[in-house]
Amino acid sequence: MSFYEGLLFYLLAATAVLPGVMILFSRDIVHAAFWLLASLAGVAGLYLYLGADFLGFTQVMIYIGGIMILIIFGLMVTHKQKISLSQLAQKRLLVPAVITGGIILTALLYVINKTTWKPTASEEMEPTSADIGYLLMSDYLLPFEIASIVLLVGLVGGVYIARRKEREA
Amino acid sequence: MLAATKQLDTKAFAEFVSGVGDSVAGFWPEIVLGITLCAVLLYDLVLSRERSKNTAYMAFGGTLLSLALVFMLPSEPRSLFSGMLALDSFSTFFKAVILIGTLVTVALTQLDKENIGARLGEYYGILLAAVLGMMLMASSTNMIMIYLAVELASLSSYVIVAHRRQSRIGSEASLKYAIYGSVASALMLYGISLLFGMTGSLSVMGLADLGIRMATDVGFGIAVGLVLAGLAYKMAAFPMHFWVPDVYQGAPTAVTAFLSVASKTAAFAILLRFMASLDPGSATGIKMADGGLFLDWTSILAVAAAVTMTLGNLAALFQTNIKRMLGYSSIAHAGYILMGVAALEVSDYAGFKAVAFYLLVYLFTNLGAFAVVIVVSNQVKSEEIEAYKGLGTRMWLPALLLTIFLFSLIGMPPTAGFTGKFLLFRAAIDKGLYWLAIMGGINTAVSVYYYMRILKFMYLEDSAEKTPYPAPCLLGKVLTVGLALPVLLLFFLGAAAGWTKNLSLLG
Repeated sequence: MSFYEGLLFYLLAATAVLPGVMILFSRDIVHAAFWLLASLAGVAGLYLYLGADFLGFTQVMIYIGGIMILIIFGLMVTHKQKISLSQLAQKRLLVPAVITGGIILTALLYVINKTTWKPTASEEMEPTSADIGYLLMSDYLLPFEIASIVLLVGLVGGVYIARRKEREA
Repeated sequence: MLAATKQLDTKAFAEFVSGVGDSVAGFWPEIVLGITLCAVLLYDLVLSRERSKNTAYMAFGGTLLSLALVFMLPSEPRSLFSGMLALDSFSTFFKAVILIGTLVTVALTQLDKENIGARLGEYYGILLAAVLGMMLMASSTNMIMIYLAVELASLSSYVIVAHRRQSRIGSEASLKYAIYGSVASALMLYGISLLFGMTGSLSVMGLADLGIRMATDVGFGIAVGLVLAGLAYKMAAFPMHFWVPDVYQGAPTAVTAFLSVASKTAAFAILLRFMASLDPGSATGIKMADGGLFLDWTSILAVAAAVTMTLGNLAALFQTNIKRMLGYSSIAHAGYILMGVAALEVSDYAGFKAVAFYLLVYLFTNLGAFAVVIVVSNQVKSEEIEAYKGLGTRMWLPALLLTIFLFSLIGMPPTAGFTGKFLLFRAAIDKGLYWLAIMGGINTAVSVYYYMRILKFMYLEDSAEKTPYPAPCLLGKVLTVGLALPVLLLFFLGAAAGWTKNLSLLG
């Protein structure tokens, strides 16, 4: 890893992680939503850095373009008075949370360092979209089709639950 | 795999198309289910809002056709859709169990007066989607496919859990189910991504060799553990069992019955397939960096089994609501079944048969118990155990049948529950897990208390009112008696019938 490569990586990683930390400390839920936006953009940058161009652009389109807008829109519609997030946090859970988090962090660091990973992607940067397209239409044809049923259930189920109140009224 | 070239390789393409055609031949049950699902949703949307009973007939018919097609599947084990699914007697057996459970669930929904008329079109559509997900769970051999199947089953379940007239309790159940479920599926997905990073393959069957190659990696063990945690959620086993009581109580009783049998069966099917690839019989497990064995899979599963059954049974002792009690009892039963998984021996399929047979028995027993709960609550308008006082004289038939189902849940002869438990205990003892068998014995003794308490209420305690309730409707009678028969017959035929004897996995 050359110096500039390393610099780029750590910049992108910081863009992903620091806003994530800021989400935890922001007192206003709208601020938290915007920090999430920045964090997701950082992750998209990391995907691009790793040569996963399709994944990176999908991340931008779906998460930043779609889901983030929905979250902010949802907040606008439902957010009548300011909710202070610090009120929701429970102090008594602090110690168990730190212990659990510590154990998970240790385990993850151990796994990341000790595992012999098997890299499958090539070193060269190549556009990936065409390969993904071929795979989706060949080996992964069935998951592709089943995903459409998952989406159908999500759609119908969402409307079904949301309209339940009307039915009862 | 088709390569990405500018020009389409026509020969490879023709081969691929004929491969898909071959796969479809072994995929008809799922296709029928998918078509029925869409038909039910469209019928409800376009044609009729009012006649919701027709959607029940459609769902029942589609499931029945799918079940018939399952029995007609070619018996030759093979792989479908480029290694996504396995077509083997193992998956066929579990698909049949899930579909029988679905047929009963559709009938139970019609029996459950609380729900009739409340927009059943969407309900049946989404129920069938859950069934489709569970059938895929029973046959998936690729981890992407496993994840999608689990997600399809879970998402659909969250929605149908919320289907209840009293919306608050249903919404609470659905929300709890969804939150725990998303944590569980996140854990599982993380485990899958770690496994992919280590092995470069998503095939479950590939884990067998890789398990040995990665024997020195503690990371491999942690990754598998994460996947198992995601499955434990669907099985209602420790440590992912917290959602069970609230969801079982809050969901419509028919949905509770469905989740307690179908969801559990599908999850155990994946677990068996997954563990068979890791081969717990040979000394594999979480290993330390120096290669020394830290924890082997058999011990991990055995401990999970012991903790699950103990937690479930102890909590069940203090319940006053019968659905909540059956919820804790369902946790306990996940523990008993895990005992069979811990005793897994790939060479002679030892644990497999016990687990498969027990799941079949549990299907009829638990559906029967919930059917009686529905029949009783239609008359008594209560799901509290107190309300069962004096039921022995006021509703003699449901009380008698509930006795049979409870005897089977305890594992007393002459019910199939005895045969099932006997096979599970024998599998554990054959494997040398004596302490686990003893734990199972103690737990069974504990469970006698809370099952018998219901019998005591029904037969030994009198209620102020003595007049008998009107007899249950025809559907209620047919269902409860129809479920009690296999519970009794499987005791006599169980060992001999040997449906579960010939199960084999695509290896």
